Amino acid sequence: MTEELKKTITDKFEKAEFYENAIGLVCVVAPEKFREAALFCRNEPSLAFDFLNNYTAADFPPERFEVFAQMYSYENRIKLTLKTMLDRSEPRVPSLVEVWSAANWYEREMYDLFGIIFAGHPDLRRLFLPEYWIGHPLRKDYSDDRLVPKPEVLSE
Amino acid sequence: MSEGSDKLILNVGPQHPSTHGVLHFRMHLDGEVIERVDPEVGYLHRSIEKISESRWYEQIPIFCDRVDYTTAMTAVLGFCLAVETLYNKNEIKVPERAWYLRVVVTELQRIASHFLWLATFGLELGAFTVYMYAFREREKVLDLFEEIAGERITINYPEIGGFGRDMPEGWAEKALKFCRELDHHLDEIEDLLTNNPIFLARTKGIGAISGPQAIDYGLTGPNARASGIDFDLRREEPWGPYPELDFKVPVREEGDVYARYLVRIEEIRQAGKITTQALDKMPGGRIKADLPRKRWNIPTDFLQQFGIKSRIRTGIPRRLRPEPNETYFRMEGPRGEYGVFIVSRGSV
Repeated sequence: MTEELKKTITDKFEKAEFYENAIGLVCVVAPEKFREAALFCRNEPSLAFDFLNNYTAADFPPERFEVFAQMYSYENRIKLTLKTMLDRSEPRVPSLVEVWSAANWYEREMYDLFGIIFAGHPDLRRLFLPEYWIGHPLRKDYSDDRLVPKPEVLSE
Repeated sequence: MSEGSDKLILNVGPQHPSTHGVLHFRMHLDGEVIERVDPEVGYLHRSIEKISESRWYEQIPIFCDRVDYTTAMTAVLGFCLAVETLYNKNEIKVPERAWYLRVVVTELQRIASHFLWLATFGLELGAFTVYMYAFREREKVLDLFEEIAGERITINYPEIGGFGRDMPEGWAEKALKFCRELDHHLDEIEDLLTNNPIFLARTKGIGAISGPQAIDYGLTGPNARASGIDFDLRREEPWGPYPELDFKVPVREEGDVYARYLVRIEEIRQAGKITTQALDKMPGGRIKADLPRKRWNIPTDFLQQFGIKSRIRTGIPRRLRPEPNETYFRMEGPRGEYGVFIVSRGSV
């Protein structure tokens, strides 16, 4: 099953890389191919990943963010993690909202807490924190003295 | 409200007197019809991800109960199981007895959580008796939790590798007695609701979600099962002794409020059966695994800040230090899929 799955994806995306660990099979694609790959995984009948299970990011300073989209197929009962690495200085990746509606709030959360920009997101606002908040708390270099927003911003 | 129209923006919450952590709805109304709802969440966000960055693995379960205070046991256990998946199977050998006790406490938590839902659901429909009956039953579960764990709501009982202490004497009998009486008490509640015409009028065909919609929006658990998705992680990706236990997964096709009600009621009954079986089959023996704790290598430049020149070899407690890995562990929580995502980097 794993080999077939790998082949189906590499036929379409030559540069996709695979590795396996406790999370299961992980497929690494370039950021610009992220949306295309997700759409392919959902629509290709032999994959049919119709369910976005978990969609989150991790910060690896100083160079990169890693975005994980964990997919599950109710039809084929298989799972796969789609991963992409973003440049930390300008984190930008195509949005997956058109692929799965469930991605909407996950992307707003990542925008809020990591500051990753999802191009094409219909409503990219902070999810948890207020709009006047400075910084993105889940970045490893986020510091405590900025936890309190500046008063002049608050008074607006 | 703009002039000459019935359009109104109504703020609902977050200061609702009956609940602790709630969300804020900005409702766009046209007369009595809700056109659009803009939910504002985050009032209950505890920043556990951020806190966890600077804690040892053993310290994190202590605040996982705050993830969802109505399902604390499941939340803490989920994290513990996720950490165990970072290791090979033979590195942490959780004893059989601990696996069975884990099933017992999560299923009891499911019963407690579903009763809380049933109680408030009844209250909001005006069925105050249901509220009293359901809370009475939930209270019995909380009493059991108090006896076994010392806490009623925010429970810190499961640990990585098993449990810190075994169940007290006579606890199993009390839990079995509760499960025996559970069906009867559920019948009492069902007599009040299931065929009640007022209840039917207010739940049948209301808030219907179709199967494809449920998948697209990532709905899981009892809500998805009420929309015809025959999927339960206890059966599809079981942990511990779930494959040896006999239980049914209730599924309904309608996807409306009534279907969700019926699914949850049946889940309470099944949870009672699972608890009984797990308590009957529970073997004796140890309750906690030996953990593969390793020495904590503190970087020398960190020590130099305190004037310590050489590396300290003694006096530092050993800690869990999994190899660099990534994991996502998901389990069937009372409200659907409960997943824990961990990226380990070979440090404490």
